[in-house]
Amino acid sequence: MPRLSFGSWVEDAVDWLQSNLTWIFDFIKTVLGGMYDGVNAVLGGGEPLLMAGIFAVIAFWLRGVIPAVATFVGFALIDSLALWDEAMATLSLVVVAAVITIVIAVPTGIWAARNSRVSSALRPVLDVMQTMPAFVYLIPGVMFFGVGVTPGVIATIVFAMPPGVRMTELGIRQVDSELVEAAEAFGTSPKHTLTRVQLPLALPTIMAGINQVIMLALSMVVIGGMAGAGGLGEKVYAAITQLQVGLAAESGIAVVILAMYLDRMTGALNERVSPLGRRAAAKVAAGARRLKFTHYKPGTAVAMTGVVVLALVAGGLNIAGSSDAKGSQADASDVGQGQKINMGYIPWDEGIASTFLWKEILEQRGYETGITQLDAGPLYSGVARGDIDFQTDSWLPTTHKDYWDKYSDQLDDMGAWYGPTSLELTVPSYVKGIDSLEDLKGQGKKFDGKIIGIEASAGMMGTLNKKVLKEYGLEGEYKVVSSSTSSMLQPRERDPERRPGQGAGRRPRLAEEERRSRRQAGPGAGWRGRLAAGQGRGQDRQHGLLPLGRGHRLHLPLAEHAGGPGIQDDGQAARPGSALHGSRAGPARRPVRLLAADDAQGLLGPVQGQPHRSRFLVRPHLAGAERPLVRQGHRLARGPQGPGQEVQGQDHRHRVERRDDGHPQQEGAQGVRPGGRVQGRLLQHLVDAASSVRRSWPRWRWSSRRAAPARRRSPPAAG
Amino acid sequence: MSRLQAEHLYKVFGRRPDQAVRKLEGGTHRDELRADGTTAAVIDASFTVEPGQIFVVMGLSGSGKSTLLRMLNGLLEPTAGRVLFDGQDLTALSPRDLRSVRSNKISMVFQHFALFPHRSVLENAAYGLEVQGVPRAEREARAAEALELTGLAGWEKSWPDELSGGMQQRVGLARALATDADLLLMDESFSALDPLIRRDMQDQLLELQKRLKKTIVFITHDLNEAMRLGDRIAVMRDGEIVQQGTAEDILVRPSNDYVASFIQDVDRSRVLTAGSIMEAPETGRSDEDLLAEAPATVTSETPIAELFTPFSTSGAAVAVTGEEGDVIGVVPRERLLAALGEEPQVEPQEDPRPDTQVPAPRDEAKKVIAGA
Repeated sequence: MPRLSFGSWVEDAVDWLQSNLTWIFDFIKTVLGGMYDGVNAVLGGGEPLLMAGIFAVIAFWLRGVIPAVATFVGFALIDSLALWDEAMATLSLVVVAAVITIVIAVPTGIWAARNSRVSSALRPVLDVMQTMPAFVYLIPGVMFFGVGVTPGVIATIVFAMPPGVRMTELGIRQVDSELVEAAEAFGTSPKHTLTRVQLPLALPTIMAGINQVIMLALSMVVIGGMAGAGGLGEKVYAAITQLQVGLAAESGIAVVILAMYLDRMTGALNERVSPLGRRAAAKVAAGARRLKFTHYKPGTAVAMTGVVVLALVAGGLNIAGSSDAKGSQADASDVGQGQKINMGYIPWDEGIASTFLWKEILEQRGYETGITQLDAGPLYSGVARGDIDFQTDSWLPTTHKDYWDKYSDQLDDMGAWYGPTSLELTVPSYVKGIDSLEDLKGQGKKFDGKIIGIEASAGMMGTLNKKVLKEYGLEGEYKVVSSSTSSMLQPRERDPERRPGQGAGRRPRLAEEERRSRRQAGPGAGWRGRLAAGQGRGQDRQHGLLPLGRGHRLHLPLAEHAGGPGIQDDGQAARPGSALHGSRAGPARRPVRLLAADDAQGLLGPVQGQPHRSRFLVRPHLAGAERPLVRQGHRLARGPQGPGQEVQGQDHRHRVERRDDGHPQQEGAQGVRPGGRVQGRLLQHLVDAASSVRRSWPRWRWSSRRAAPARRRSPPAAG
Repeated sequence: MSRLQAEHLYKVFGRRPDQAVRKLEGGTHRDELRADGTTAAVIDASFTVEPGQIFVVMGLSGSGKSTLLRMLNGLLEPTAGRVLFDGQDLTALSPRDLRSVRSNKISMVFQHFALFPHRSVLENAAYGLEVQGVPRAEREARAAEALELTGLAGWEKSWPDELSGGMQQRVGLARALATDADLLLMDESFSALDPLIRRDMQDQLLELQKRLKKTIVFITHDLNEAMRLGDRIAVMRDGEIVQQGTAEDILVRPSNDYVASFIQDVDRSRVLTAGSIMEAPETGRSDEDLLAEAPATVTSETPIAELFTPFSTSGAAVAVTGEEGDVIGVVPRERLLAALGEEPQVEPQEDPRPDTQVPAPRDEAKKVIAGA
């Protein structure tokens, strides 16, 4: 059979659409984004408990006393899990997606019910929408609409549409044909037959379809989270990819509460909107003997009054609250003046650490920050499009080669902030007698013949598969199984150290390891210099450079000296992600032994004289003057370690307010936690990191020299 | 002028219906068409219905009677032929005009009532008026009137599912009457009811008809019902009208074996009238004599079932009087017994065509009579 190049046609089509129909996508993005923002402003704007009260009143109206109480408790629980904003973001996404879906699905279903040709033409389309894996259109969605809410909403609409259409069609088709005939026999026009007979009688089925639409929309939020739509989905996605079981469970519970609420309410809505539903409900109520009051439901007017009153109170508080907040923000350190900087990261430890460190640094300087966890594909595409301003964890030249090749035109490489690194295989330390890659030969059984890898999207996986196995004669004996960085590490964490030898999970695992000190020597000659010549500049080995306006760069030291963030094998690594989310701090010790090919260059990503390193990618305009991170002329004079350090301008001085007042600043102040729940731990971590930084870099500094000749594929936008 | 006239109506379902009609006109049998996948539901049906008449179309299921009925109000478009209603050709009307005729002049009562479950009894009865665009207050008043007419006063606020079958059909009838349509199409309207209720409804229909003088086309598979209600009856078989006439015409002079077999189990005593079996009085006897001797005096319209009681007490002939009280004939006991014993001339036989499925009419009729 000839190989059909269907995939490449699709790619061509996507490219064409991207270059020619941008305005349509921009328009859709504007509309959907605007709807989402509006709904979210309403839902997320109010005081949580007041909003919970509004939800409870709606439940009271639709279902009675007990569901109302349960609703309030459920939403209060969401609030006490500190997931309120996320839950409202998710609810907004579901509302927007569901409304659009219903507006499209119901008329389509009616059309299909009245026209068999339309019905049979729609059927395969609906099948595709329902069964096509969401990622297939999610990623193009990111290309067209960028990272954020829009691709998530669109994916949700696509996925949630079929039951809406199908149930509408079914509902109308199953209306007794004698009733339709009766309507026609009395001279009813087709339009009135629809509105007077078919729709009222189909309404229970249509409402069941709408209920399904909403539930499916909710089930898509996690996938939407992968495209950068905020809310619970993002939390769940971040939590599971970082193996934070506790946070995942909390977010999961919040999703369940939302789901149950939406399900019960849309289910009960039928009793309010459809005459048949009202009849059924009246019968049930009449049949109830005991606990009659639980069946009491307030009239629509009463419920509306309750909602309006609570909404007014919520709105009033909101206005009062926001004016307070504004007053406290005016500050000398407000260099960013509320500009928003969006950051994205892959759930790799060093990426999480550096991103959250940047978040803190930027916020101290008055920027607003948005952080999105993404897969490598959406992340690169997001940075290239400009939805994301920068990302810190770009592994070049090997691991992210494909993305770099595709998007390097739209990206600026700001240099490496950490390196050289290496890509290695590891085995648990209790496995004896395996000290280099060559020792793996013949030991396949012991490891079930599997090498657990990281994300399949990482370029090193291909190198491992295509080259390493062959070079070391491991082909056939071992298979590389793709996984994710965190789950690759997970079974190893589970292994009780005390059970050496034949314990569970004795497999070689592929890890991106940074610690030269732990690297085992091995015959890696076959590896060195295999890859193409390096592309990076590489002169700043230990720190990345983020341009901060014309001629200024902020050096971000995050090298191994930092000791803390993101070092996977030293056992002491704090995880800023977990600290931020309030769940457990640093992971358990992970004793590993690295099976490296070469102590100088690393295994998988060696380039002669140009080691693999984690890179800092920015969208172009940040490198230019279009959106400088700080205003020209400001200099940070001293390190950020102390409270109240100074920022020196050329002509005036600012005091930088820090939020860790009273926190002990001495080195090694481990274990002391400041009061604030989230910020406290983050700052603890930051200070820990920063104090170790100070050993090698005594101070943060603004470099006033001209930017080093950064290798840019595209010229900066201006200036 | 006749109110409703059907002229050579054909209805063919399937591919190339026009061609099929030409074949049928040329004498092809419908079974030969079925091989091509076309079904001739109604073949060359013609009849006229006079104002104020109840015209019954009778036939077993699948005989095409419901299809025929739906062509009369344009729910189905005839493949060929015309329907003239008050001289207006319904088949030539635009959909909008046809809807207007349906809403103002023709109403319909359905076998399974076809009440709207999402509307109250009153709203159901007012439906036709709502379609006409009558304002709410007026249409509710008129609907309440119609409900009262059918004996449902006081049930206006109820819902259809709270009513018994008979009451539901009364709502259906009220809905049809409320529009003041001249023509009432009734599609097996009483078939789904219990026998006792059915009888009640038949009585009520006859009662209403006396007052309202509507023109009614009534479809049924129940010969007794047909005989009871019908001023004229058309018997249908396999899409064709095989006989038309009054009840007695059909009972006394079945046009073919099929009709004969159909009527063999009919309760003849209720269909045959004294007038149809009476003999001329003996010559030379005066009316007074006859009347004095007779155990009872009846009119020519009296069903012979009512003659049994007088005969139980006397052997003399019952006198049949005309409109002026003059004796127009007599029914002696022997004549009565002979009339009852006159089975249809032709014994029912196995149908020679194996592929037509006519359910044994005997069973059908028995069931109905047992019920009635």
